[in-house]
This record gives sequence, C-alpha cells and structure tokens, in this order.
Amino acid sequence: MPDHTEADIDADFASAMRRSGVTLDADRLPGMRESYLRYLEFVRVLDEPLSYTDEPAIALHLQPTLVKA
Amino acid sequence: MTPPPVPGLAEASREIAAGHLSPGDLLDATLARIQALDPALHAFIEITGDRARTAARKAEQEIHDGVARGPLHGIPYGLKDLYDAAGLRTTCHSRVLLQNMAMTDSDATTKLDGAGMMLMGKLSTHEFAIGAPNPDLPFPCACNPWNVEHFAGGSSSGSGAAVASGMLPLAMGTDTGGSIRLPAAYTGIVGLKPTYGRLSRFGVVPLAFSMDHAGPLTRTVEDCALAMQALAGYDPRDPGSADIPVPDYLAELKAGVKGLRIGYARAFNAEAGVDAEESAALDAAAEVLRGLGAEVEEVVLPSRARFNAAGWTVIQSESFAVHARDLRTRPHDYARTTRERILLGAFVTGQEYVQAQRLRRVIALEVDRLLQDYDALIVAPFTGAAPKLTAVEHTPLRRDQPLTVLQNVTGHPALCQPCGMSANGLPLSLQLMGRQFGEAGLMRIAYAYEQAAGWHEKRPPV
Repeated sequence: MPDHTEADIDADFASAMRRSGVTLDADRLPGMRESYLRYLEFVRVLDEPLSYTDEPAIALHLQPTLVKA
Repeated sequence: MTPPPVPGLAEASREIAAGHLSPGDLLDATLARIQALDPALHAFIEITGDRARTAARKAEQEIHDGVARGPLHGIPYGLKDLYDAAGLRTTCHSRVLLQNMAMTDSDATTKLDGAGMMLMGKLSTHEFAIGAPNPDLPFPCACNPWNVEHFAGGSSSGSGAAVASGMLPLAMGTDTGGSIRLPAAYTGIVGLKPTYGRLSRFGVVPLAFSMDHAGPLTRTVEDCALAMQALAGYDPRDPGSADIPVPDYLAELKAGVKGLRIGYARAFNAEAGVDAEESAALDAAAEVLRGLGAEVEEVVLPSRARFNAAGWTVIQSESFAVHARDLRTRPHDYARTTRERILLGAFVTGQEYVQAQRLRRVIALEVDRLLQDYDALIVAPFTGAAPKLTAVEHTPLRRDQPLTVLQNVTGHPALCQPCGMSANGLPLSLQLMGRQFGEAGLMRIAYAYEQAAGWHEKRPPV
C-alpha cells in the first residue's frame, strides 16, 4: 500500500463514503474515519506478497449438470 | 419461588425414556422458568407456547404409540432469531425485518422438529448478528444471567442467556466471528462452531456468506453431541454444505484423552492480551488434560494480525453486499452501531477482498498442517471474563477484535466450555479447536475435560 498523507486519507475516506451511497450524520463521521484508519492497518497486512498460485479460499465446486430425462 | 432450571438434553432424554417425565410436564416446567426469568433476562423475542404445546401433545401421543424419533423427542429448544420457522417472524432483532414472516423452515428447524423437539421461541441477537447491545433496537437485549450488568456476549446473546439460565436445554446460534462461542464463554456453557459446511445454513439470514456457521449452545458436551447428531448433514440447498458422512458423535465421546496430542497456543494468547485470570484458567485446563493422559505442548499459530486482516475484511465486505440497498434506502431502521459496522464494507476494494480470501486460504492450510500433528489446539476465546455493559465497544471497527475470528477464517471446528470463575464471579472459558470435520474428536476431549474439571456444574444465581 502506498504511503498516504492526511489529505489523501481524507480524500479516500470521502470517496468511499460517497460511493457507498449511505449518508451518516456529520457527528458520526470522525468515528467512521477513525475506523477507516484502523481498517488501513488490515490493508497493510493484505499487501504482503502472495504467490501466483495462492488462490482465494472461496472456489466453485461444481456438480455435473442435471439433464432432464 | 423461581421454578428450577429445566434439565439438559441428555438428562431430559433419559427421564422421558424412563417414563419419569412427559413432554407436557417438561413444557410446563420450561414455560414456568421462562415466565419467571425472561422479564429480567430478555433472552426471548417471541415465545411460541401454543406451537410448543401442539408439539408436546404430538410427542406424547407418539411416545405412547411407540413411535421413536430419537433421544431429543419431546424436549424444548429455541432458535436465534436469524433462523426461519414457517409461520413465525424472523426479525434478526431489527426494525428492517419486523414484518418478515418466514414461509419455510430453516434446515435446523426441520431437523429439530423432525427429531420431535418443541420450539419454544425465537431468541434475541445483536442486530443482524453484527450490532451491539444498543438501546435503539425494537426489542431489549439479552442480559448475562451471572450478572445483568455484564455483557452476555454476542451475537447469539439470547441463546447463551436462555441456556445458561436453565430456560432451555438447547438453543441454536450462528457464528461469523465468534457469535456462538462468545456467548457460551461469557455465560459459562458449551458452544460449538462446527466445521464450515458441517451444518446447513439454509433458512438462516446471512451476515457474511463465506464466514457464517450454524451451531448449537448447550449446557454440557454430551448435550452438544446429541444436538450435533440431529443437526449435521449434507444439504444441497446450502452452497457451502459438505457432502461428507456424519459420524456417530456419541460413539467415542467417553473414550478419554490418553495418548492424544494437544497443542497449546500460549504465545498466541499472550500476544492477544489474555488477562491473568483467563491465562491461569487455561494453564490449569492444560494440566487437567495432561493429568488425564494427553500430551500437551506449546505450539505457534500464525500471527493474529493476519487472521484479523483476512477475517474482518471478508466479513465487512460480504455483509455490506447483503445490506447495501437497505442501508441506502432506510438507514435509520438500523441501530447506529449496526449501520456503521456494516458500512465499513464500503471501504473494502475488490482487490483487498480477493487478497483477504487468498490470505485466508494460506493461513487455513498453515493451521491445518499444524493439526496434522495435534488432535486439538487450546486457544483462548476471549481476553477475560464478561466486561461490564458500559465497557462494551460500540465503535464501527473495534479496537479489540474478538479472538474467535480465527476459526471462522480457517473453517476449523471450535468448542467453548467453562474452565473457571473470575474473582468477580463470572465464567472463564476454554476453547478447543479441532481438525476439519473432526467434531467427534473435539467433543471427546471436551467431554473428558468437563467430567474431570466439573465447571459445568456451576450455575448462575438466578
């Protein structure tokens, strides 16, 4: 994850809130921003390199198509 | 005088089989206990006495006629209000679904009714299994029967409170980040999150599809095994359901732990900030298991930061996908904490979600490799006994994430059971984590510990 300035973080947070389409009261936004910062700690972990062959945990397990008699 | 606690599943089953107890008498005792305690504990959202009465009459007739439905015949149970039961509302403790009448039964409802059980009602939860004990909900929140000023855990809070207080011998819960195990731990009972895919999620309102598990809360390990026998099995209606044969959960339950290998994730617990009381209780539990003949040694788990990153990114993203439309159109029908917790998913990009699922697979395989050498692992379920309600975090993303998300990330089964009492009279809990689809082995270890330690005999002062 690239290093972010406070201004970047504000812009990203505002963008995520806008894309969500959900409106919060203004007094709730500082708490949401704090949680957003906490979430960015997760993103740092998620940015650790994985190998090309590390597939997602959720994968399709298909069954043969049932054909009508 | 308060009516006594209703018997557990195994005890009630034995009493009914011996003709010492009828389903009708058990129903009367259950209703009396609920009427006495629930006004203070708020475990129930809806009590279905008439429906249970019909089931009791049917069970009595069947038993009289020699129609045997198995060991749960004629015994009461409850459903967390995320499970559908045809003809009853499934509200998820939310204004959003106040009028949501279920048209069909969840798989669990079908199986437990089919086993001859009597549904006593729908149980409180944290809203949509992710909220908190807020005052701005349509129903009161369940209280901890050990001390109503302390947290009952969540989100299956009503299930935990109902079983711990002796209002029910079995309650169904759901577990996406610890929601069966934490109420069990905080109220001093047994809660099992089975392997992902072992129990069907059909007819259960989702929180996060790839992390949700259905499972039982009971007073004892034997009761848990009895419930699992009725509940486990493949269900093609659940895309995550596993087509793997169901073993006899009672066959090896009492076989003891001599020669078994148990890993103790002591360093992981310390890193998580487990307090001195809980640490001492887990050390003591490890000693009990050693004394019973198990080989217990310390093991190293992947870092907690990796479990949290993978787990909470997935939960946030999937839950936002479920709720985005309602959050946009009727946000104030959600309690504030629920609204803000689900909204966190808006921060997750597609790439981050996929990375979380990739990391999840990597660490699940790491843990599974560890379990090739150990029959079970001891991992703390929480940092300490139930906090005061006033200390419960209501922030969107908690500073202290529950420790229990680990097993939702990996899918391994995990069972919580009481292992001591804190200085202020609240239960401490041992969590055992087992091999994939190894619930039988897990319950075998848990049973041996329970019988040796005896903490399951402690009852809340209600």
